[in-house]
Amino acid sequence: MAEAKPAASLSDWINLRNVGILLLVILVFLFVAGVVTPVELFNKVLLQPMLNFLIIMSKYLFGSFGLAILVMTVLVRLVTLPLNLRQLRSSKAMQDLQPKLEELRKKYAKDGKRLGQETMKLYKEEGISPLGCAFPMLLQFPIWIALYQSVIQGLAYAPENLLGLSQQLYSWSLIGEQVPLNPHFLWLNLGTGDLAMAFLVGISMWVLQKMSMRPSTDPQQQSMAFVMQWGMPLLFAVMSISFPSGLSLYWVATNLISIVIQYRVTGWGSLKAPSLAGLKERLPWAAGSPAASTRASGKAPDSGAAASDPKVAPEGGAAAGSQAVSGGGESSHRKKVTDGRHRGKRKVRRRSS
Amino acid sequence: MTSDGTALYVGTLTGTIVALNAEGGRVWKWEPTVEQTGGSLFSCLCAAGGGGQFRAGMFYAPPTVGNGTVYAAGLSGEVYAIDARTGNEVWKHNMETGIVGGVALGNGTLFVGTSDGYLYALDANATPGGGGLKEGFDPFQAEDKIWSTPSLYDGVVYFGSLDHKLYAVDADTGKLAWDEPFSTGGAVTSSPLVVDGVVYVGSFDSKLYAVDAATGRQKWAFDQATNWFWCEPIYDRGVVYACSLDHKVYAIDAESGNMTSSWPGPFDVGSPINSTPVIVDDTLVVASDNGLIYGIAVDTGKERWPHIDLKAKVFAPLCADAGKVYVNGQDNRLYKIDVASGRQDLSASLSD
Repeated sequence: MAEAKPAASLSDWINLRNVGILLLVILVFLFVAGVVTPVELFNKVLLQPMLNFLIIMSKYLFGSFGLAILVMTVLVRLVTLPLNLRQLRSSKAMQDLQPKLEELRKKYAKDGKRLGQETMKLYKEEGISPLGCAFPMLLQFPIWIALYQSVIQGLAYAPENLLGLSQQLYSWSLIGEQVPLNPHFLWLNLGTGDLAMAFLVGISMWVLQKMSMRPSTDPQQQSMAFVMQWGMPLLFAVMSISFPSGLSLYWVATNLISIVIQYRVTGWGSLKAPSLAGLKERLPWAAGSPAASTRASGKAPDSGAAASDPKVAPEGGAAAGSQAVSGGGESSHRKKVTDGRHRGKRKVRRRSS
Repeated sequence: MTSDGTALYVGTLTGTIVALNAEGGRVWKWEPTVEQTGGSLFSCLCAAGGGGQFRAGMFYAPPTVGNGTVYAAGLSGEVYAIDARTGNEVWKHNMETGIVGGVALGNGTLFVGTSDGYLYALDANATPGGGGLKEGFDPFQAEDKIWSTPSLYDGVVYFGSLDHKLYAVDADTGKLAWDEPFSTGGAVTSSPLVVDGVVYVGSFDSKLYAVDAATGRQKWAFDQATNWFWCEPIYDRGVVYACSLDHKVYAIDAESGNMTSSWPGPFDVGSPINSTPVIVDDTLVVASDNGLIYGIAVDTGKERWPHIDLKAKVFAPLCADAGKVYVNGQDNRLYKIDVASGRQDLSASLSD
């Protein structure tokens, strides 16, 4: 018999999604009523505080705008860390669910309506919100854009940029005195493109993408993974050649922080070089290797990399980014995935295997 | 935009110079021999909101006219001398760095500040095909970019720099004319105004300074603005009119440095003021950033006629000629305002 649900209290109602929806409704009302325009709101709430803070920081960080960008990047990432972690864990949960979803897709291939119902049912059973990966990411976008704009306007290389900057600054003499900001940092002129920084942007993004990916046997997913892994870093690297290197500095710093967070949550993922033990497990001719034994028993082999990495789930290099793709080869999909509980589950499963 | 009484000379956003008659009819149009496109995709994107249409060859500052020649300096780093009658190029000289400010002309010499922080002197009377640095003048180096148009007064060139300083340099030798440059609390992009031995210059520290032209010592500092002074102040009968990016026009007594008592207070135009105003027949004509043109009575500080909405942004200095004020809009059009009536008489395209 189903248990009676307790009445929802205010504290139950207050969660990220509901608060987000409420804020959205208030904003739409303000925009429609003409109280404030989206640009004004963005400038007042995000851009101006960030820009002015950057300029003040550059004064106290030896007049270095580069150091101010780095500190600001770290602060922004700290503030958005809960969202980031939530997004990573949601993505991983979605990845872990892929085999079950694949089963459903095969089972209800000819009944789209039923497939949708069963998919939603599965999400509910597993406690996963399909928007869980996207929503936290979307919330971070305005912050990233504000930081991007801050760097552009702070450096103010053309007169029109400087005029724009004048309207975003607080009327504190401390701030006005800092303009124009010192564009020199390390070997960089933060206002002009730099080839080395473009390379660093590309390589740091490649590492991050590689960590986010998981092996796949599906050709469609492989090609998508290839595009994500090589196309995105290449695109950003090429753009960074003409971008002011202050932005590249931000991208490199934020990528490095992402790599650390990604490592803490999912380990090295697909980046991990195959160890000798892992290779042995993968080689079909190696005596006693799981590949050989599973071939004999007809079961799919586990990922060698995952088996040799204590931080990587045996499902095979957990994917964390929303762009990550899933692969087959999972040996078990029975665990219920909830935020922050992966590691304990992994240990149990490793022991049992 | 500038006038020599026979024609108006306008530097356009597309890197051309156009000579127009008073009715907006084109006398000639000059284009650089090599198309000066430039800037990265990113620089175009980040300059959106008025700047996206800018090109490397564009002219930020108005041309200067003298001796039958129009002189202009572009963002591409080229300084051009163009025959004012025919529109033919006489000479050009590449400074190899961007030029944002205009050129100052005096005694056959052009003075120009560059984005690499140098003040150069060029021979204005060079023969066709010639053009080059003036001999005997050592280029003077400031500590940051020079974006202000230099002012020439009594053999001394005055200019500001983004290094927060106002400089006075001997026009013949290029040596500093003062013991040390005058320091302000912010960058100086506005061109200095020199009247009766006093230099008036605005700064990014939101102050307008009066400095003794001979010694470089401060006379007074006006500190009631709440944003930067971007454009050049103007002077009329003992009053300095300074426009600020805080949306206000200040009328300041040139002797005391206080707001003049004949105005009830600063005049608010509702948006930043980037372009240098002009005075025509006791009317101060001011253009706000968002294209509103105000006529303010200089003796009362009150609006003389209802403001005109050009519906185009205005960054360029205004130009007055024969009771009319000409406005070069960011929409690449020329507007003519009749100051007596406060009517817009003309709107002509500069790009056709």
